[in-house]
Amino acid sequence: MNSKKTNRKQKKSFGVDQKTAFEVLYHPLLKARLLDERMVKLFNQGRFGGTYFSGCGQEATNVGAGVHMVEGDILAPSHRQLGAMVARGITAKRVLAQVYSTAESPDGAQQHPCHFGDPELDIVSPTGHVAIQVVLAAGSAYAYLLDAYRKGDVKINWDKDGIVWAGNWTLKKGSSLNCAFAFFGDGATAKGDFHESMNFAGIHKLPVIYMAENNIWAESVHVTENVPVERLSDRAAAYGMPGVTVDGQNVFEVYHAVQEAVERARSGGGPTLVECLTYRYHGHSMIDPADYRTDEEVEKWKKRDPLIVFEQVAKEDGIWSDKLAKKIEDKINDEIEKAIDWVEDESTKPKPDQFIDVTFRDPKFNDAIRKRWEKRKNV
Amino acid sequence: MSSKNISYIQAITDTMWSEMEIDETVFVLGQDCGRYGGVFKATAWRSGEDSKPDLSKKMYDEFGPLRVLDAPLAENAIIGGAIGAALSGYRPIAEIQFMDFIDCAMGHIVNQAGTISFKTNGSWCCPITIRTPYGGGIGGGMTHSQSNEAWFCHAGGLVVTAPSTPRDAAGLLRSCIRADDPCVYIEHKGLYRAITGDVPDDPNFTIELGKGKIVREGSDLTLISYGAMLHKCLSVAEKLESEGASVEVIDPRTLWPMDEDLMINSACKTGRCVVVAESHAAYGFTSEVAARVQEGAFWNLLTPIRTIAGPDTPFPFEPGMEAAYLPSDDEIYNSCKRALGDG
Repeated sequence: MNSKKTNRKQKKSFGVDQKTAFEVLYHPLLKARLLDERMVKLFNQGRFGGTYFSGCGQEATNVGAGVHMVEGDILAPSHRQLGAMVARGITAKRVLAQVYSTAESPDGAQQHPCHFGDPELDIVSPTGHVAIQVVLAAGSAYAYLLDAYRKGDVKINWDKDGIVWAGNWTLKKGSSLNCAFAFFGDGATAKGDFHESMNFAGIHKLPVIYMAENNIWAESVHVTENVPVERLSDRAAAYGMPGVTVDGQNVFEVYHAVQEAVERARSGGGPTLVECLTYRYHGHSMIDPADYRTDEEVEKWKKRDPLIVFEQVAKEDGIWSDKLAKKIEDKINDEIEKAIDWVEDESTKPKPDQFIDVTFRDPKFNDAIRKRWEKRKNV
Repeated sequence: MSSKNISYIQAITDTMWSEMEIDETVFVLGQDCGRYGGVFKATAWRSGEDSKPDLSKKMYDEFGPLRVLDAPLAENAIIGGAIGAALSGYRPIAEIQFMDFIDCAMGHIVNQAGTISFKTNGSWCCPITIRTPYGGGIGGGMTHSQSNEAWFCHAGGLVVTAPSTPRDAAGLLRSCIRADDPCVYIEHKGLYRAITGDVPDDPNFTIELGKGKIVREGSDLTLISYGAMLHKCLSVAEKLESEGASVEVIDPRTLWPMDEDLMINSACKTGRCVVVAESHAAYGFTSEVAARVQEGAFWNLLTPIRTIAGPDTPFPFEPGMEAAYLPSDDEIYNSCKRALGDG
């Protein structure tokens, strides 16, 4: 493992210089926050329908991982991954197109506001099943292993009898694998899908980054009612992979932990479970008043807000700049305002029957569904 | 183009083998698929010159353990993993050892595979093929005999195919592997080694998905079925022929989306229709076909459409009960006779 970059005693924000800190980390951190708070407001004003799942409070967890994604890496999100998507490069315009259910949305408005992905960025649109995407990520990671195998970069190391090999392969020096990033909450780790994915990836040393966001509450169920061990990362041992727990409010700490995991995965060292201790400020969705928790708990976490922690750490390390922060904020606000103007004034409504034409890839199957649907009017 | 006379299961193995040779993004995963070659040996040996399995080499030896993967005993990992690989550029063939176990992975099949195109507005597709043996008559008992195909037809977004002959097994499987839509390809385990037939050698031999086939022409009655029951229907049709009745037999081949025009047109021509399946009656294949044929052929029908299906109970083991569960030749024959007696 690269110990240099993970040496937390090192000065300068855990070894991150000012340019990287602001451009790579602060920009998406702030953009996710400003965009998210704005969407909460827009929803409460009735400007878009359905519901909304805010990720406010969890930005550092998302950004610290999302910035490590490169082209070809798949992101398998749950429903609170705005930060990871922003770090991956999704624009405010595409996010708003989605929550306003416009024709321009990445999923064509077939899914509800917070179940969305972006095929252009290899972000998979999630379902309401909170651990299904975790399995999908392992499958993509298996595809990445096959990619390298087809190139002749994977050597299988059979046992002495030539019978078993599982997980015992080596990647050619200089070769690098794509990584699959799976995001899920503490509640999802109670599901069988989580186990089957971790087990599969553990067996075959697949390049998966398991991002467990432990925000204490799975909707209204406390983490101790979902998980019998103290740390979610303890679960990793059962699957033969490293598990780490990090301060999910500190983007620098997440950034380094995920960097270590990504370097291991890309070089053929297998998956890692990264537990991030974090918190969501709003309810599970906008209809949840979150009356199952105390105000004191919320306030306690807000004191360790990802933006506050960023500023603290950057100041300690002497790289904080009011000017840079302001410049980034202005730029983000400009992007958001323009995107809102666009979505409210210029975006288009999808055709009400659009969904029929994309159910299957084979158009004749959609035509048959359409025929029956049209017939319905004259029955 | 020459052809080979091979068994139903051999047609399946040969087709996978040939597709894996042609396209290196095709791979197989499932429980016991690798070094064992599958519990039914569907992923074991391709046929040799003599049309018999060439025992010198298994699929696992030919393509290696990464492309013929011994998956963990975990249906969610098999199907969910196949979906992820499909989104990352592959055409996985996932084997679920018995269709009875497929319910473990329903979330992945119905809400993930079946919705990929829909929820990405057509940007992404999910080219997976799920192969799974179904059907009774082999003494498999409750959880090795079920015919659960209706679940997938009902889901919306999945192609469901059910070949009844070696030729269709090959042509439909190749179409499923090459299709960009997620396909559930069900194999009647009672037919695996019970029937043989000619299968073209052509490595591009396909049968169009969504198209049924008139397997026997007739003018007095339309008999619709698939899988092992189709073969019962064909023998009943022969018997009725000898008694002077002309029976048309239709194999839908793809259960969903359904080739309803073929069935409606036939029923319009004959005026009589009997639908047979071993799957459950309630909300099942026979009910669906009867509803659609009734809608489309009502004014040409001379007699009510009759349906013969499996009783809506779990599947029993004891041989006498198993025989009682499955539609019999006599029941099909008698139903056809009653239909022919009317009108």
